[in-house]
Amino acid sequence: MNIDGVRDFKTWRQHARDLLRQQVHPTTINWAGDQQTQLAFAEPIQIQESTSAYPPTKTQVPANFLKLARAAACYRDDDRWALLYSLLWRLTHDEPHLLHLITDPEVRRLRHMAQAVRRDAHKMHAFVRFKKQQIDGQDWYVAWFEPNHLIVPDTADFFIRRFNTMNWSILTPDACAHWDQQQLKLTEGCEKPTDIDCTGDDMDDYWRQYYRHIFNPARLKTRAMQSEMPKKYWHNLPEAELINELTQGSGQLTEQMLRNATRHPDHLRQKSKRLREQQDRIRAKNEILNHPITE
Amino acid sequence: MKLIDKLAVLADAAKYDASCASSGTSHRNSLDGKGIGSAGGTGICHSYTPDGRCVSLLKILLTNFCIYECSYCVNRASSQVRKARFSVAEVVKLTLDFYRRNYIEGLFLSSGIINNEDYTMEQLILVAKDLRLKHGFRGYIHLKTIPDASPELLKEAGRYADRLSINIELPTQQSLQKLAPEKSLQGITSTMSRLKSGIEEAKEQHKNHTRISNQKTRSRLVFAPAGQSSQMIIGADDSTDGTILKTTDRLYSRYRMRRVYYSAFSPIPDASSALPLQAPPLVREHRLYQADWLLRFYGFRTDEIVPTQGTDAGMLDLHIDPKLAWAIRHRDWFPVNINRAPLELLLRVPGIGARTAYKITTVRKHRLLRLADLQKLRVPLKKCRPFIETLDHTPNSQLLEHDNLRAQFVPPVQQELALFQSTASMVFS
Repeated sequence: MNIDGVRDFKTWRQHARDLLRQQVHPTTINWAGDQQTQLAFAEPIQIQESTSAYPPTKTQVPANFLKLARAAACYRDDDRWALLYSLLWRLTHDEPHLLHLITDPEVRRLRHMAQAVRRDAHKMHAFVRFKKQQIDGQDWYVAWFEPNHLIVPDTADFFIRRFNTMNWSILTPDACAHWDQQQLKLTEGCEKPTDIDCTGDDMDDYWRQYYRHIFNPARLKTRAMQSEMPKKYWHNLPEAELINELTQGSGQLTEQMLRNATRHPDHLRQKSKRLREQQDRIRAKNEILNHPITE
Repeated sequence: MKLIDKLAVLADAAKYDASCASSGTSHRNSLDGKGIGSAGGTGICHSYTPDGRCVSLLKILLTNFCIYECSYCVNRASSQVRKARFSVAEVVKLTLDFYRRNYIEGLFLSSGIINNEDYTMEQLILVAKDLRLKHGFRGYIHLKTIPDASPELLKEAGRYADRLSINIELPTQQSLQKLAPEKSLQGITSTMSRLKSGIEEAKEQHKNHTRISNQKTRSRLVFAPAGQSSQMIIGADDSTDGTILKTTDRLYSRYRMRRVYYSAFSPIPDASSALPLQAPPLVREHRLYQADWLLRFYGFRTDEIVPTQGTDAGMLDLHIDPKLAWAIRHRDWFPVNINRAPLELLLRVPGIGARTAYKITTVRKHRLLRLADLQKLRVPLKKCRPFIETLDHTPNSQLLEHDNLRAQFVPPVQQELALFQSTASMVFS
């Protein structure tokens, strides 16, 4: 049996329910319709209501399966629909505890996929960088991002909750999300725009300044940085252009700090009467706190 | 001074505070069409600097002028680094501008002490209040509280901040007296107690409120929903790891800290001569964090984690992790049977983390485990093999009795150096 046109979790679920009702075994289904790894933008494909003679049975699966499946559905892999249906079949046919068998190959694959999607979404929440533009006289915040998986529709919700009172667009190769403070519009993916006009928005300069100065050159740990912020994200992060310079300069800066003469802690106290008085007042108070007079 | 220059000075001044957490606060969003921002759940690290630390919050000082003379601090009164001061409006603007571009989760604001403690605390509160009330900011705010600030000010700070913190700085009263003469253990801990009771009162009210009305309505009293945290400087005094961990333990149990941060004192510009010349190896800080985890999530006590006798009494082994070191000292606990041992015992096995231990207990209800299963759970077999029994594995009894069991786990020196690049050792070697 061929199933075409499944592009998101919702349509998969509708198909899967139908197939399960008809007791169609996973090995007899070919989910590989065309262009599986694209997102659906047109009207959702209408599923014909089941006309089968089988009475609708209520299938129950663990809530956790739905959660994992919903995430795995965004994984960029043509085989995901087949895997999800196979797991659903097993869960409803004598293996209700299947998800607890973390060492089962299909369960591991499902968990891996869900995990990868969650991580990708988390990185998208973190690494999207808006630039402020003027569009039709209004402030509009525009970002370009390249997610690994098909997560734009699902992550849009996060940005709406956070930036509800801003106009924004997140452009990616798979899909673009636009928010005008009223509603979300999803459009088809695009190429990296070369003309994001952000003249007049110099915040990236402030951000780079902050990044440069919050860095501690005496604790260089570039591997720790790269495991959390892999190089593939760098070209869309305004601060990343500083990484090489900061890394290379750190040794010299630290050496300089170590070579500098140290100063006696009292040297300013001796010069400034005002400071001495301020400090002595506090020190006297502490003296009482530290050695309370016992009666 | 221009704003962008102030930003440089006051970020430089703030970088020695390790905390950058933005997690675990109350769930908020701006779906009501007012204000801006959201919070709650896991924190987000928006960037990482080459020191491997995450950038989650705009971490700055309101000013780095300070009348205190804390030897370990880059902002102490006698420090000759450039000084600057933000206005309240400037911090508010920077926070909102950064937030709108999705650079940050919120603000971590601290300050040097100017005029007096209460004045400084008031200034910090003004920023938080402005962000919350005037701009409807729902992102994360962490305020550093000033030692000895008045209880009324703490109460107000708790209303606007997600997290409040006050640094314990050094593990003992004696060290504090020597290196930070304007600070006192008493002053710091009394603030911690006040924060603790504020946090608990708000929590209690929230719970009761929910219970009475039988539906989740917003509780009136808000006080630092993400709790309090603290930081200790490592290597500036001669306290042992044992002393440090005992202080930590007290902070967790007595003041219900969410986190205690360790900051290996690192070379700073214009250092004080009261400090040791050489910075401690970064790996010491790393081992303390591991020990901290054992305290909080693995059911270890401080006197178990740190050896109490022998040549290394009071200090953690720098070459192997503290759980492995404990296991080598307590071989009579092993081997532990992966398929039968209770969770508390699984947590004691080197190489098995808290999550994995929990996963093992779920899987084994349905199927007994073999070494290959552990491998699938990404357990480092090399580390835990001598200590466990599985369906297909019993450890070589001679291995557990071997005099030099530790040597099996100690990596060659070169590897160790590369793993934890400590600048001090790089410069001096």
